[in-house]
Amino acid sequence: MRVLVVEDDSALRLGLKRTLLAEGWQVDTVDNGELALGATAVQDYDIAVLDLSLPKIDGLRVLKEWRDKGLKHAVLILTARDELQDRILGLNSGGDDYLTKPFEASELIARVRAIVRRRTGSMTQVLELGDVSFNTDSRELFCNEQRIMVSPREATLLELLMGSSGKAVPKSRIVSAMSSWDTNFTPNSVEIYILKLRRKLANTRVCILTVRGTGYVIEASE
Amino acid sequence: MKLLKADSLRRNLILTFIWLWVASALGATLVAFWLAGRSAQIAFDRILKDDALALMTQIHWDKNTPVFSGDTHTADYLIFDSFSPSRFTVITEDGKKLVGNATLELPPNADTQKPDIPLFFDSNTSIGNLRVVAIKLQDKQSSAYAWVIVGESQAKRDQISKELAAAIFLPAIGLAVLIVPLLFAGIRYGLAPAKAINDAVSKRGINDLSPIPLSQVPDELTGLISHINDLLRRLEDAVAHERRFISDAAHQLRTPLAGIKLLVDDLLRTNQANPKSPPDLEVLTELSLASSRVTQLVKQLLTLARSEGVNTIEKNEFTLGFLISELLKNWGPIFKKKGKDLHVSAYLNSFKDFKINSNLTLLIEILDNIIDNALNYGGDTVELHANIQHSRIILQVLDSGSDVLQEDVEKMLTPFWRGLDSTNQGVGLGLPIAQKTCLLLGGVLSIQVQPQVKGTQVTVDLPV
Repeated sequence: MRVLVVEDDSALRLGLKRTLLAEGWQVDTVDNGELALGATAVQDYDIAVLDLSLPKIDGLRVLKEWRDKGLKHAVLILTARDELQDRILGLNSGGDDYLTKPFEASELIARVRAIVRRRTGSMTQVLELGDVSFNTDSRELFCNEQRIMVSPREATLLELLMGSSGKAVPKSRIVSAMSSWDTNFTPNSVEIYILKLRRKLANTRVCILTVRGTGYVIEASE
Repeated sequence: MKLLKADSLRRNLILTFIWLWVASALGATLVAFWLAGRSAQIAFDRILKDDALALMTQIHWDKNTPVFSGDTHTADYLIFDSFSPSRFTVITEDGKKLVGNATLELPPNADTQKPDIPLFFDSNTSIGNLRVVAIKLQDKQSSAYAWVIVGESQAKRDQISKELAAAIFLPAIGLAVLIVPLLFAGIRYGLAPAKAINDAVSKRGINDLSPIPLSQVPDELTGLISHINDLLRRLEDAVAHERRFISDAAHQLRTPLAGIKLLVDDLLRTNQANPKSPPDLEVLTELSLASSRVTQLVKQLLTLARSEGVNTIEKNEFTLGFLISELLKNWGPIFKKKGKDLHVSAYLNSFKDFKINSNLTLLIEILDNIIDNALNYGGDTVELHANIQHSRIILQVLDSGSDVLQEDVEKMLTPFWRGLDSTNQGVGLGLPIAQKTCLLLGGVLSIQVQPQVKGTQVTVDLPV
């Protein structure tokens, strides 16, 4: 999952980035509204964590412009103002949820996950396919009820594939979801992580198939 | 007694009314008593005179000698009084008694009395105090005369005085007894609207600063309630301003605190995952910077809060040159480090020996905040300039920064306003602090944008 963090306070920006990175998500950061609009113009994001008090262009205007341009990525609004009026205004402007500063890292992660679940229509945190289950919150993979360790990037890739429920996931989308401006994630790297996942799923009835010219699909054999 | 509590309006009204009523009622009663008594005296004197005149009709002149026609019984009959027997005597000019039932003396000045004019006087005789009238009867042919003297006991008049006193004073006392509760009731009724306002105000919640409705307020209290409403409105504005300020302050504190929290959590998490690896330098640097920003913010908030309650400022004398050298000592290295220039105008330098009587510490704080603002938001050059006008000094800090819109000038003095283009880590308290501190020194801080040249000019106009 690729996340855009828009926050002008450098400490909070770094804290958000590291907290989200630790979940295995790819994070890009900008410190003003103008750069936020620029970032979304060249890159698709799954979710944006948006502060409202921003230099250049304030957060509500950024949000409105995103929605006016038809950008549908989820938005978690971050602000230090906790008056009801502010919350209503933020949500009415196209925000998916609202988080008041300061907050616990665990709450931030839980809210990001909840927004994404709502967006994908998945009401459960556990994705199941054949004899494989993957908990998107705890990032735990169970094969035949045996716990298998996965790295954050493997977990991201697995969530992407299992979340698409039998449909092929384009390689470009995988690259985008696993990249950030700080890391150069190439299509070749995707193949390496696909290989790693195939090895971990070797003793199960689930396999990752290559769809030539498109990407990958995960399926369970009978 | 609650009713007569000191400083109570009701107590003051009751006491004032009672004193006024007692004084006026007593005065009126005494005057009425005196007038009634005097009327009674005149009436009795007239009757006494009529008795004397009745006796005079019985006197005729025989060869220049007065002769009383009847005897003593006839005379008694003529002046009969059922209450107390009248005393009378008729004497000639040489003092010979013609008729009479008592010996009545004339007063010493009786000789000068004109004929037929009654002479009234009080006489203390062996038969008691008498009210006496004496009329000189003169023969028309000769100058011979006789005195008709009639007296009556004062007891009758004393009796009528007592009756008059009873008739006047007793109703007055009764009225006094009746009027006190009426007075209490009247004042209570009159003060009822004021009490209703008092009750309504006392039932309000502590945060209810809405105006008191004037519809039920009596005319006499309308002015007072209007003033109170005006105070309430100003208080509400002040409270709203304070709330906004606290909310803004909390907002400014929450952001770096949120960052600090996430970074500390990150350090803990990475330490748990890999206890032997050193903490990330980037995280430690950001934590240090964020802590400094929070410290600076708290310091500025405290400065602002302290400036609210100060009434008197200690002043000392220093030269303009000393002030400038202190500023250059503080700011010179900072400007150098940032590759910027802090320039002192030649005109200012020519007034180096000018003496300023003000508070050096506060003046430095004002200029520190203005220069800091110019350093953060201005261009590469910041210039200090000064003007001396009568007993005032006008200090100016000019920066060559980006253009400030005229409509943003007032906002620059609003706490926490930073402008949309601001990308530095300031919190927008510098200029508001400078403005408040300037007011403490009796000065005025103003901001001018310069359309003809790039940049902003902040002016501090101070009495010296």
